[in-house]
Amino acid sequence: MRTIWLMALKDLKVVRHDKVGLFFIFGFPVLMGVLFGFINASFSGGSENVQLEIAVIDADQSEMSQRFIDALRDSGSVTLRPPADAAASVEAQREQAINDIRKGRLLAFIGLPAGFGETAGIMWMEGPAIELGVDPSRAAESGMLEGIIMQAMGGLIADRFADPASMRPMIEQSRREILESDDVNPATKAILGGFMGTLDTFMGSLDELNADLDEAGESGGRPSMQLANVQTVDVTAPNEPNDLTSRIGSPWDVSFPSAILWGVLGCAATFAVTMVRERSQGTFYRLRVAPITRAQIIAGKGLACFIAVILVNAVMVALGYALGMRPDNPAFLGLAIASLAFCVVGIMMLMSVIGRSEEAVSGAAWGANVLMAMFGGGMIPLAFMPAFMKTLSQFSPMSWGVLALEGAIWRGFSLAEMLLPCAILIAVGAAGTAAGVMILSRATD
Amino acid sequence: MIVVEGLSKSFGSLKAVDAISFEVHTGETFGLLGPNGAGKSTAISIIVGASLGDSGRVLIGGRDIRDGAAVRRLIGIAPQSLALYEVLSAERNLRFFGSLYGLAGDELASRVDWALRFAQLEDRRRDLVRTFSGGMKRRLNMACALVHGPEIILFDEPTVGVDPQSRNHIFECIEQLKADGRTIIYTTHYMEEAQRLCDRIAIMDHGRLLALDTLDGLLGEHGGAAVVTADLVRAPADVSLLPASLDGLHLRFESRQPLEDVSRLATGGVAFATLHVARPDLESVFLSLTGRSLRD
Ligand SMILES: Nc1ncnc2c1ncn2[C@@H]1O[C@H](COP(=O)(O)OP(=O)(O)OP(=O)(O)O)[C@@H](O)[C@H]1O
Ligand SMILES: [Mg+2]
Repeated sequence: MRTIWLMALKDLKVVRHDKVGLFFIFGFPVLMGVLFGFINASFSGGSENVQLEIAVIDADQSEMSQRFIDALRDSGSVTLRPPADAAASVEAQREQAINDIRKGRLLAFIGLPAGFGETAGIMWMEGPAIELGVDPSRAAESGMLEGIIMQAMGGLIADRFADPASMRPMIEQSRREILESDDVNPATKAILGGFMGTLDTFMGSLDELNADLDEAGESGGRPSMQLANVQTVDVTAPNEPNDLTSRIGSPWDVSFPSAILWGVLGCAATFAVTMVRERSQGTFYRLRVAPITRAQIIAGKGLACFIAVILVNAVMVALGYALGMRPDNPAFLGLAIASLAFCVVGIMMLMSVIGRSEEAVSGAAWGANVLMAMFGGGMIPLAFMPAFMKTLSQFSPMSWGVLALEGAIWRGFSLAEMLLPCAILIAVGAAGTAAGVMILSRATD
Repeated sequence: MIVVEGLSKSFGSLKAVDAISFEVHTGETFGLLGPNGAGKSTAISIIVGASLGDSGRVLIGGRDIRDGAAVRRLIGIAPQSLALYEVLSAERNLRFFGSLYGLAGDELASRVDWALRFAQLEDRRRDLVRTFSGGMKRRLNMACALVHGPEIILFDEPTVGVDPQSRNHIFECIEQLKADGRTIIYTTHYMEEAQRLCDRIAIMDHGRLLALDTLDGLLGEHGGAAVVTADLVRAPADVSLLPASLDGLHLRFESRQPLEDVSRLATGGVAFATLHVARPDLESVFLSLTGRSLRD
């Protein structure tokens, strides 16, 4: 163990002199974290062809609710995920959706309450609230979704006018109720009667308003008039579905996991290069001749990389705390970081045997890093990726790393939920180490 | 101390080391002399266990080099290509390599000081290796082989690029190590170094061991006769006294006892204007063994 420690210490000293490597390990992630933090905090745009995957839980099952869903689909901005089990109760579907969002498998859900169809699209009647639960790391898309809901509601209003027959009974009923009511004094009756009479004029002007809203919805801005009563659901608190206090302390909670990803990938590339440099500068020869085993040489290298990853994470977490980040579960965060570090050691081992020269290894390592970071969500939010990239992102160990970190910081994962991403990270680490060691042990010269 | 038996190693179709066998005795300095590409470094790296031979075996003190740490601890090697951490200081390099051999604390510190003196780098101890000149690095490369005080030391062309003064210092240090009873294998393509330092010399070419003996043994066996060339003041009265016929006043002859022959001529009244005696050396040994010059 002393030998392994000596090897690791030496490597850390070597890397300390590598200014470029250090920048990529420590400077770059801080930069990315802060940058992403600002982006998450202020992003409010979207492009035409963005596809947001959401689930709609329809507790109303009316013609109106179906029209609303069709309008969402026709907006072209969302894809609706069919329920996994259509026969499941609305409650079960809702729970499933919240869980999936929490685990990062779904962007959002929209809940249409029972009775939605009776009042939807009628401006003066406030119906039960539409539920909206969005992945908190997607603040940008959340604003967009609200816009899309408004747009769909606006469409329903237009539908009501296109089909006056469906409006007339409601107006008639309202007027009758007012006139027949004993509680309402005659003066009020007169005013309300007059109001109902001018409704036609008012409604005529609504068409114009709808047109305005369509525009507003598309540019992501919030309409100035409340078309729909949207109630946000906190998906991070499954046990208290109505608890609206978000677990997200600051934009940094969201931006740091992706930023840390850059730092740990920097570690992988930097230590992979020290491994080939060991060969190119001949010191590997001395190590092989020395009274230490090959396993100790490799373990020393791995330990150095592991320590560096932990250090990067410690620095980033400390910085996050300073900026207002409040991890949900520090113990889980430790577990996530340790798993991530182990995964990075495996990636480093594999990278170190890709080529024989420093140039080859560092080139290939950074190429792989950029790909892993891209598919892991380190560059553009997953939601903005085309579908095939989203599928591929499952194969980037970094997307699991980000999920594990988020799970501990704000997704409120249970231990069981932490296990999947952590196990994948550890498996990747073990596979990478095994492959790297196997290739290295064949390269004796 | 070191037994090498039938060692072979090929790279593809090239036989870099071809069934070589030899023994190195305790306290001996053993020279491995050969031109570029002879297979010296390849043989060395198999002997120290840095790479595997295709066949044959190496015993160090009766044990196989692959047996483990105890055998490896006995060995120190200064590889031909530098093996140093460029971004660590001279001292850190020495400390790291020393600690790999189990040294620690005061013992490590005093060994590192000794090695720095050996490398004449005491005043540069805290400077990074990448700021060193080629010769300094080469000296440090040797010091790293010695820091743990090994019984057996292998120097693979240690003096390449070292200035004459430092080279002399290195020779003195090696002679000191010899006097301490260390066993040394020294590879070089400079015959002067082999002649000065080595008790026995093996001559290698194309992976094969062509001859192995003491310097005198090699010269006697393969060196041939010395060559005497002279210009005479005048032709002697009795030309039958001369071992060869005169070309004008120029005389050239080969002899196994050149000095005796010359003094016999002088007492016989031959007057020399110039005189040159070329004794056989390793160059002539190599020439006679391979038909080529060592300096090709
Ligand atoms: N790793 C390798 N792969 C392929 N060929 C090699 C390798 N190492 C050495 N050789 C070949 O083996 C032969 C012997 O090389 P070696 O380095 O042992 O020679 P050397 O006697 O040390 O020469 P020098 O005096 O130049 O150091 C050479 O022809 C060389 O090209
Ligand atoms: Mg060589």
